[in-house]
Amino acid sequence: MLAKGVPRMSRVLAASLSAAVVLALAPVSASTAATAAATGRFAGGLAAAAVVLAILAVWSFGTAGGERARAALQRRNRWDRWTGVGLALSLGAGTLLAAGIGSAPGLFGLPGALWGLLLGVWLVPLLLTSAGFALAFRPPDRAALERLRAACRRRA
Amino acid sequence: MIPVLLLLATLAVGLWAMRRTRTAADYFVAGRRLGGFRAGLAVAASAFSGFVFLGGPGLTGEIGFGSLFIVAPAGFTAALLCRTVGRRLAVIAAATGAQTLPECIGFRFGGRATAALAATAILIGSVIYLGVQLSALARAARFAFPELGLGACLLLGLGVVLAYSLAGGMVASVNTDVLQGIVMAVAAVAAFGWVMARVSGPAGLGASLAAAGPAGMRLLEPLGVLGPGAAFGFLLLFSVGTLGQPHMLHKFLMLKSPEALRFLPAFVGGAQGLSILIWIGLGAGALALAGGPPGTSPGHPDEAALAVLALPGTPELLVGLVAAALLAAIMSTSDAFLNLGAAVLCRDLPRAAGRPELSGLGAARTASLFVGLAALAVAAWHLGGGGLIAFLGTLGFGAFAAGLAPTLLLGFAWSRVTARAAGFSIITGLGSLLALEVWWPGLPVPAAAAAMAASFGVLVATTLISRRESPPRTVRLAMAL
Repeated sequence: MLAKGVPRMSRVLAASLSAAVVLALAPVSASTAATAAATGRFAGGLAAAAVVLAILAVWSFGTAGGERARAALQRRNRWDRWTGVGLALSLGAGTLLAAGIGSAPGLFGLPGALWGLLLGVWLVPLLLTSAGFALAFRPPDRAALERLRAACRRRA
Repeated sequence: MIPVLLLLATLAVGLWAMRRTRTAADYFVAGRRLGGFRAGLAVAASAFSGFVFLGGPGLTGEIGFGSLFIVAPAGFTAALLCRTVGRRLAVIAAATGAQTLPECIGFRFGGRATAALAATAILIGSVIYLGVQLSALARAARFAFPELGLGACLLLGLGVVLAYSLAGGMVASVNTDVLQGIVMAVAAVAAFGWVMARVSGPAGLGASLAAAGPAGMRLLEPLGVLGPGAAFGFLLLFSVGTLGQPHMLHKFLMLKSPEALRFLPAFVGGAQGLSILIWIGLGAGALALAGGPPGTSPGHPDEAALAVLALPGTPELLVGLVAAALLAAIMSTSDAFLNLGAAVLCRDLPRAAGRPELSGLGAARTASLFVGLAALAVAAWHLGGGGLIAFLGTLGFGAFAAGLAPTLLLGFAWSRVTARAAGFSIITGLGSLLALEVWWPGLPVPAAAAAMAASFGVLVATTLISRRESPPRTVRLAMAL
C-alpha cells in the first residue's frame, strides 16, 4: 500500500543501503562480538541504518505521497532524484561513521566519527537539499489552485 | 548595551506592528504577506530558541559532542519540511484561508474531533515549550544579575516577552523574527570564531580534551557518552519530528503564495546553519575552557555557556552580542508559542465545541496572557527541580513530534488515512510520551522518539484496518497540487 507511493529509486536505495550495512556489520559481529565495544558498534550500526532508512522513506513520501505519486513517477524530475541519491549517500556514510562502523581519518585533531556526523548529517545535506529543492521545485498550477479556491468557497 | 538596543528595536517593531494589527487575520497569520526571505528567517528564528542557545552548549558540556545528534539534522529538515507538510499547508491556506494548523487538519479530515485533538496537543506543547524559554531567560538573567533570585528573573522574563508580543501579535512576531534571526546568526559566527581562536582551533580543542584522559576523549566521539539508542533516537526525533512542530509550520500559513516555497529551505537552512555554530562554539568552550575535568564545571550546566563568556579577556562587544542573541532566540520562539496558544483558545477549541470563536484582539491578548501564566508555572516547576533546559526542550519538541508529525505527514499525503486513525495517532503519541516519561525514565532511547514511533504505527495500522473512505473532492484536489 505505502510502497506504491514510494518511488522506485528510493526502494533501490533502501535495499542497497541495507545490504551495505549488513556487509559492514558482518565482520564486526563475527570477529569481535564478544567485546562490549563491538556490541556497541553493532547496535550503533543497526540503529544508524534504521534511522537513515526511516528518514529516506519520509523524504520519498514528500514528492511521491498519495495522489501525487503517479504524477511524480510519470514526469520524473532529475534534480529531485539526484538530491535524494545524494542525501541517501551522505546520511548513510555520515551516520555509519558516527556509529563507528568503518573508519575515516581524523582531521584537525578531531576524530573521523565526529567529522562524519558534522559533514554527512549536517553540512553536505544542508547544501545539497537547499540547492536541490530550489532546482526541483514546481509551484502548484495556478489554474488548479484557483479551481480549488472556488471549490472551497462553494463547500463553505 | 547591545541587548538594550535589541530590546528597544523589538519594542519599536511591536508598536509599529500594533498599528498594523487590525484584524484577527493580522494577529494570527500576519495578514498573509510573507515572502520566502522573511518566512525563512521567521521559521529559523522561531525554531532556534533558548534550547539551542543555552541548553545546547550546556548539554554539550555535560555529554560532549554526542549532543550534535540533536542539532545536526537541521541540515536537511528545512527541505524535508517544505517538500512534505509545508507545501500542502501552503496550498490549503491559500485555498481555504485557514489561519491555524487545526483548521487545516479540520479541512483534511472533516468533523471536529481531530481538529480538537490537534489543538489540545498544540496547547500542551506550547505551554511546555514556552516554559523552556522562560527557564532559559531566568537562567540568563540570574547569571547577569546574581543578586536577583530565580523567581524574580522568571517574572522579568515573562514581562519582557508579553510586553511586545501582546501588542503586535504575529505581525510583530514575524518582523521581530527577521531582526532576531540576523542577530542570532551574527552572534553565533562571532562566538564560534572567538572560542575557536581561544582554544587554538579544533586541534587545540582535541589536545585539551585528550589531556583529561580517556574520559575527555570520549566527549569528542559522537557515541562516546550517549548510547546508540539515545544518539540515533535523537537523530530520528529531531529529523522526522520536525514535521510536527507548529511554531515552524504555522509560518507556511502566512505565505503570500505557495511559490515562495522555492528558496525557503535555503533561507531557513542558511540561518540555522549559522546559528548552529553557537551550539558547537560555546559547547566546545564549555568543554575546554570552563575549568576542571570535562563535564564537571561548577554551577548549573546550563550556565556553562555563559561562564565561557565571563572568562577574562572576552571582548565586551562579543558578550553583548551573544546576550542579545540569546534574548532574541528566546523572544522569537516565545511570541510564536504565545500566539499559537492564543489561537487554540480563541479559535480552535471554541469551534471544536460548536461555539462561536472568540473574536477581537482583546480576546486574543487575554488568551496569550493565560498561556504565558501557564508556562510560568511549568518554568517554576522545572527550575525548582534543577533540571537541564535541553531535557525540558526535548519534552516540548517531543510532544509535538509524537502528537502531530504522523497526522501531518501521512494524513496530508495518503488519502486513505481516516479521521479516526489520525485521532488515535494523536492520543497515542501524547499518551505514550506521558506514560514513558512517568513510568519508564531509564528508557535507553528518548521517550519522545519511542512515542513518535508508536504514534506512526497506530496511524498506519488503524488506517489499514479501517474501511476505505474517499475524502471530499476539495481535499483530494488540495492533496494533488
